[in-house]
Amino acid sequence: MPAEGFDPLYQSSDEADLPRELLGSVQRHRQHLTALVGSLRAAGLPEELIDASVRQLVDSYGVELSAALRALRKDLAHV
Amino acid sequence: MFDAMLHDEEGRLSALQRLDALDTPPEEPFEKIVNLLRTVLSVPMATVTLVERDRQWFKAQRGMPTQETPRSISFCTHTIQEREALVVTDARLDPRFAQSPLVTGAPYIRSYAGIPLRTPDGYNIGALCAIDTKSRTFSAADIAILTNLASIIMDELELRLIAGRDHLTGALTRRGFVEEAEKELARYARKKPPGALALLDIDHFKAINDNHGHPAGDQVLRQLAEVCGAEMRPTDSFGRIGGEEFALLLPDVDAPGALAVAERFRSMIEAHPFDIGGGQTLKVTASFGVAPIEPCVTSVDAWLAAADACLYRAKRDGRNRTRLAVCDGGAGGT
Repeated sequence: MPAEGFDPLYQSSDEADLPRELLGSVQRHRQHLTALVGSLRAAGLPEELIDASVRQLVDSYGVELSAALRALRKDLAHV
Repeated sequence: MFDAMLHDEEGRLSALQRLDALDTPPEEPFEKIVNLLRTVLSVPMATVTLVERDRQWFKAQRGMPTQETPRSISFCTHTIQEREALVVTDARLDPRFAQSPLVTGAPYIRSYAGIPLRTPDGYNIGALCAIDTKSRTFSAADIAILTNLASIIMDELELRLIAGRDHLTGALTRRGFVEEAEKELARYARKKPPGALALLDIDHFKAINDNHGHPAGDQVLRQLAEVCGAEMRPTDSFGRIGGEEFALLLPDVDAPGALAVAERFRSMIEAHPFDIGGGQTLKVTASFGVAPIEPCVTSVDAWLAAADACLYRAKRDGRNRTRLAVCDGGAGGT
């Protein structure tokens, strides 16, 4: 699970807590991951490979997102 | 239809610079993507390529013999001229590529599929590429996978841009730091609070890279950022301004206070054992230039320049020391 327990693949109430700057990014990323799953299935790849691949991408994005959240919170603390 | 964005080379290069993604060490998210692409498309080579004015640089790559090539021989310079995929089934039969050294010599490219990496404002800053050493076609499903992965790459790059954060050290990027300094200047214009900006540069950093390798240099950069981050107040900002140059923004601190803070940071860096792996530690020092905010500081560039002049003095005076600017051009320090 990505840091801070936020999984960008799934829509949840967590999004209500996201800064506006990040919400659009999360939504776009979810759309792109969903489209990727579709195209990997269309290419006939095994489900296990698809699951493992998407999980890696979700984790990478989750780490970046957590770091972005920290940075933005620090910015907010300056205001 | 004429697409003006595809012909705005200066705008494209500015968009690429804003991403602050060039000449970095390998980064995990992009390494994962080229690995995945190579697996799912069964190609020997995959790249995340950024196209600068005169070169293509591989942000991540598998199977290529080099980290960059001249742009003039690249496939990607053609890919970024389009909105759609560029597919070459046999490069030997394509007059654009038949004489390219990448085709006539290593890595002997025969087929290529590239999708532009497009910023939200419409600039193609590079391409995601699947490359083979044999002639082949790429199916619609292959192109769809490439397209989706290219979008995911841009998600990652844009997220970093939003955060204004340097991936290696976690410090603010230059852009992010400048934004913070601009806020401080604006606050100064309204209320005239004290404040200071310190630049620090790691002494003999090139020798660290040369003698111990770039991974060791990266460790030093990361740990230096940690040392400074642990010592900062919540209201301070810390940014990576250049390769081994960092900046510290100190709101509500007067000149003597800023000099004392910089000295404390310098001493902490000097005392810290930098772990570079393999049981080895390095002694590292840094030089500091400190510029208090003054009426003569009218822009962030001027503020950085004042601090940089003092940093230069600190280097010239023997390194591992701090110099303080004053508005009349003099400099004190320790």
